[in-house]
Amino acid sequence: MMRIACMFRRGAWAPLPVLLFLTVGCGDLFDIQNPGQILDTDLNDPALIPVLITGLSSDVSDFMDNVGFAVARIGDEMAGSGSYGDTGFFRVGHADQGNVNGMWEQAHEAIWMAELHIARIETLIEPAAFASSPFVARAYVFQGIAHRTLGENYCQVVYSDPDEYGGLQPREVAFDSAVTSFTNALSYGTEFQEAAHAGLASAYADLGQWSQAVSEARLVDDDFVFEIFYDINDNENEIYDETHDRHEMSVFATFAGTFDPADPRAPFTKCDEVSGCPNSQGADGVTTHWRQEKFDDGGSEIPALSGKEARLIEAEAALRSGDLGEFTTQINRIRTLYGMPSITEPATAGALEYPNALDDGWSILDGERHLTLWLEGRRLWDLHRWNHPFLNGGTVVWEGENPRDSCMPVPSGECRVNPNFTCAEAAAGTLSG
Amino acid sequence: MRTHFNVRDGMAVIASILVLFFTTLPLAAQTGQVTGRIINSNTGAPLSDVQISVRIQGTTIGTISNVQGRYLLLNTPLGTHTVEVERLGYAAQSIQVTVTAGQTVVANFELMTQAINLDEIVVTGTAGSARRREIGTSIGVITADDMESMTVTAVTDLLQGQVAGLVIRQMGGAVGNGAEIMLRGVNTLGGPGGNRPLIYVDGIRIETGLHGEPDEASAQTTVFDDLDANSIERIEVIKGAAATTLYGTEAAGGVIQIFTKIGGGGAPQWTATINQGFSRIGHVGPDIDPTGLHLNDCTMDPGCPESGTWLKLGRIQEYNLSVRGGTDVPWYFATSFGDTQGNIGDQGATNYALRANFRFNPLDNLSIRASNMFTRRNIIFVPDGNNAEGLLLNVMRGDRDYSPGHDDSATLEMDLKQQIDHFITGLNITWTPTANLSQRLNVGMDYSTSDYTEERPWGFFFVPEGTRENDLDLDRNITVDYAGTWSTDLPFVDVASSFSWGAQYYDEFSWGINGFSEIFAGPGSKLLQSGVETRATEQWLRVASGGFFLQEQFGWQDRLFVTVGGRWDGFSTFGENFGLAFYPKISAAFTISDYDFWPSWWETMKLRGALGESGRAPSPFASKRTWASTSGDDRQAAVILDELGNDDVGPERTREIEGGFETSLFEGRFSLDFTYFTQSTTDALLRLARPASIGTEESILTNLGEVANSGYEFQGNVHVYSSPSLSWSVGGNYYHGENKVISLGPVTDERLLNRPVDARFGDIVQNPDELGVRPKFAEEYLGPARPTTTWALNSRLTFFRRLTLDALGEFQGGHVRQSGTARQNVRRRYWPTCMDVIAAVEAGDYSMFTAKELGLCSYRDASYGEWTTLGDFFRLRSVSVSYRVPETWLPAGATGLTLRLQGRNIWHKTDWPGIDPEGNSYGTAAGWSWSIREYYNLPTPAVYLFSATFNF
Repeated sequence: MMRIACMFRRGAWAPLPVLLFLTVGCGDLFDIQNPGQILDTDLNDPALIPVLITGLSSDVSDFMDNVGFAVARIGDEMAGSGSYGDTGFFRVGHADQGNVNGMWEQAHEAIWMAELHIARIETLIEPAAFASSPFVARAYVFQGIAHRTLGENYCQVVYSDPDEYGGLQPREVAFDSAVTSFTNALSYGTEFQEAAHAGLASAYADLGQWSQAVSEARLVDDDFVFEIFYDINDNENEIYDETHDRHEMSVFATFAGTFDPADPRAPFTKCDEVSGCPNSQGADGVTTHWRQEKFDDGGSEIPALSGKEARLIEAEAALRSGDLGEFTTQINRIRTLYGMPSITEPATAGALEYPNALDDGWSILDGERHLTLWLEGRRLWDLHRWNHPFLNGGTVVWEGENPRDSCMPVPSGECRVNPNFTCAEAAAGTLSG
Repeated sequence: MRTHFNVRDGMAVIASILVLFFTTLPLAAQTGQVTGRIINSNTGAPLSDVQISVRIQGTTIGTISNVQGRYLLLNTPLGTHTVEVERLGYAAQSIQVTVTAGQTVVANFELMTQAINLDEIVVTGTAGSARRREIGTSIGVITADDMESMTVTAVTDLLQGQVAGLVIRQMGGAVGNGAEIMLRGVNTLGGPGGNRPLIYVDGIRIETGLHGEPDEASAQTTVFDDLDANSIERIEVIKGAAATTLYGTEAAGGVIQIFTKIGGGGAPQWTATINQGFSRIGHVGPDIDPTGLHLNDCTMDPGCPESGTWLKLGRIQEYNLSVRGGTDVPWYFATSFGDTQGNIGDQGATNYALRANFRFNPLDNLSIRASNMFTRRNIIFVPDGNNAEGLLLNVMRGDRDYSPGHDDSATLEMDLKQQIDHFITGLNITWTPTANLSQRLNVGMDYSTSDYTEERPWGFFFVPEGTRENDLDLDRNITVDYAGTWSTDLPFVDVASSFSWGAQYYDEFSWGINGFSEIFAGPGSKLLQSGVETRATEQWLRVASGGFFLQEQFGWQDRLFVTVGGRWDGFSTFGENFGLAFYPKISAAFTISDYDFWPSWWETMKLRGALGESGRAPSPFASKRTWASTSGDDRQAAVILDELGNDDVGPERTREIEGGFETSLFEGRFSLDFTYFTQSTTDALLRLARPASIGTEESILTNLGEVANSGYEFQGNVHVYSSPSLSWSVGGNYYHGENKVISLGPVTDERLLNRPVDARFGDIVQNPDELGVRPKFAEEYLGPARPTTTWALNSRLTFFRRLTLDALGEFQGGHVRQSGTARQNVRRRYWPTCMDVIAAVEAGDYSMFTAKELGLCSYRDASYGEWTTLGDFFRLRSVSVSYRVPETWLPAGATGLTLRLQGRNIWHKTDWPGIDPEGNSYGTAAGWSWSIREYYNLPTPAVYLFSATFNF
């Protein structure tokens, strides 16, 4: 702690009355006392490594439910039935630069925290222990998830150092970084091998490297899931909060809402028809509130890597190669997980359509990915990479822009202070541009 | 121990006085008495606390007048003497009397108010005390007589519209809501909290922040409102760094010092005041809407009260009783009780206040004053503001609300209460061992607690299982403030020297516990443990600061005064590498009217100029990288980054140059005080905005910013006419100030440069005149969020020295203000002035409307920017009629009775399209510009009061 005496020593030229004050100033008189704070140096203790990585987990939690909430409204998963400022933009398909700062910041913080913690851990434990540390592996998995999710949802990415700010880069850079992080995770112990493979499968798929994606996906069991944790006390699942505690988005008039009874992967309650909901209409005072029940508790976890996604990757790869049998097999493996009846092999690969009639390979894949990965922050990437027909003025209650944004621009908080590009350049390819 | 010492010494003093009294009785026949009454020459009101003195052969005998304005000088030596009377805010007078043995001479005085009196003593911003003629900076003084014509229920009532450059921004019309006080605008990047003036009460610094955070009420209760306005004797206001240098770090936002009453005048004198009245909210929203956004008329709405309106008159009753007296040991005790009901539901507040002040002189050259205050406030809020569970939000949105079945009465089931206890105690010790040396020591403590509870009962519509939250906050601040002055005449012609030194220590401790509980088993009253899920957080912080100053003042012929000085400060929150902060000052005051060549009708002209610096401290732990405890992985212990830390962080520094003059003409009938100021804040503390792509959203607090702020102020007063049958005086003030951001460091958001710190931006229609075309928006700068120009006019008309009509109006403008209410209602297709556009858009044919009209009124397009417009308004702050009942009408024992009818905030004029040009949803807790907006908060009510003040 800093003492006033130290300051006086540096200000030794100060006049005589200092002496009077020094007599009082010594001791603890001028210490800040704030028991809740932990000084950085206090963390240099091997016993605190789990605490560091749990903190990283908390950072990733902050990021992932925000992404889930935003993507649901920008895309076609949910009707933006709320009153938030960003909702007004998101629900018409406008990912405004001013409304996408938080997720950008949280993703980068998770990435940096992983780096920081791994570097600290290396100084705290023996090299051998470090080389097999499950904490290091987990940190890399978290880092890979952050890279991947950043790349899937932002049209361009930027990576900077405190001393050298970066420029705009294509989102593939984020996917490459995700591959690096997941690959690193494979090198540290055995505990997170499956998570790393699941991450690599999705990162390779994002890069369009389907054979590598399938190779990695095959190493992931159907029921594997790597979840992002939420807790009602410190880190409540925002999607739950915004649909149960509040009513900021609704299943009403969405693809998931067309199922009656609801698809088990996308459960919901029609609040206008049953009791038990506090509200039958959204926070906009207009839209019917159909409440999602996938996250039915403030502590509901959000899957980030999973066997079901691995199956979807294998199914898509098969569809792309024209193997409809393999495609159907992989889809049915997922449906079995949920106790759902199998589908029959579609007659053709067909094409994406809006609205979806689920009548051919691509529209089935579209529907299966939509429902299986519902509210997990993945849908916008699917819309983008498939150039989905929904993007051409598709509507979920609110009349959409044509075309709608299929990714988020580099946000205003970045472009306003990063001298390497303008905000217009940062918004290229979006309605903000 | 100290109390024991005081009481014992006090008793000794009283005993000594009695002994002296009886031993001097035989001498009475060799002396006479002087008595009389002192009144205000305009209003005829008796003047208490007037200092009466008679100088006789190098010694002075004196007394002060009582509440009836009467005085009595016993044992006055025989002969012809001059009786001099002085009182703050009045021109001094003297009368020659001839005292004869055993006789009583009557000398009555009628004092005229004098806005500028160069010999009045002020203490704020000076090393000890100083005459106004010695001070090179502007100082605003509000005296008890300024308060005379108004019934005050809050301290802000005393300040509003009274001092040029002091702007009060109301936070909302809900009972218990406080106000933001700002002096000379904005000169920091540190948010509204960093711009608050320091508040001192009887020399003891008090907390300037807010009591807790009643968030569901969107209310902000301020420490300022805890003070009992009826106990205030005077208020001194210094506004900028040129004047606040001696207060050091944290004083760049100015200093307000409040002095409470002390006794005197001999026998106990009682004053009782009864205030009865009500508050009323008139028509809400656009006039074309007969329902007043469903608040004035809710007869068609489910849950509407039987009265057919959500609004009601809010009963106000207050009772104040004070007693003062003492001669050698002046004392003052006061107590008050107030009950203020709100205009909706159970909203209301009760206030209790106690004050005990006394002073005694254990030695001839030693004076000790003790001041103590305790207040308790119990406030009941209704859910308000930006709150989906709030009454106003749900009512004003009509059918587009959240309430089940549109029955908005369900919102009132939320129980929001706050109890505030506040205790201030202090000792002011003045020791004058020699005629040249004076020293003072102020020691005291400011201690307050806030207990806020927020309960959604079991079955509450928004959270059926119920919740309870309890915020307990405690603030304890200790002040130790020492100053000494050595005055002497230098061996030069007519040059006097006054050398001062001093040191201050301020220890600030805050502690808070927040408990939350949810999921109750059933109905009934609850505690935190009643819920299935519970959690708690705790905050605990102690910060200390200390500094010392040196000052030298040279005075030449009592006309020219040059003061130089400096202050050195240490602070807990400075970085390891920073050291001490030094703030210099220099000022000059020159009373040119003292020269013989100056025309006699222009009796006062003082020129003044000053340069000084002050600062603001960085926040706790800004210098350290710290981590905060949290949980992750389903309730496992975790740490997350809290503060990146900066070893070099120090205070920001505001340098101010001010110049001006104070003048009065025609025997004080016209007075004017003018000041120009320019402030430059360098090393401004700012959260250095860096690209998040470096890996963190956390910013570093750095000394990189620069802010410029300048403006000018006028304060004037005119006694238009004065006679026993009629007197009329007019006063007023004007302030204009503008600030702009000069630098934000190496990485800059260019939009913010050369614009006000509280710049407001918004989306504005770019194709305004296109018909039938949806608007295209772009972000534009709209204006500052806080008023840049204010003026106030006061007129006081008195008939026959008994009946006084008083009016005060205030203008605030030059800023933009957002109606979030209107914009959000448009989005819900319900805003009375927009219904034609809304209907057209619903019908799909809006070809007759321009893009601008759509940008304002179309539920698909309305932007906050279009609803952010010039916020100028003029408001009649106070209109009152007072009658001083003739003494002959009063019953035995009563010595005075004043009756008053007052209306406050009863009329306003504005072109701003929202509901109320004042009142804000977020109070001062939010950022610079975000906090200035209307968002379903209760408008400012008009208040009507009848008051009776008895003296006996």
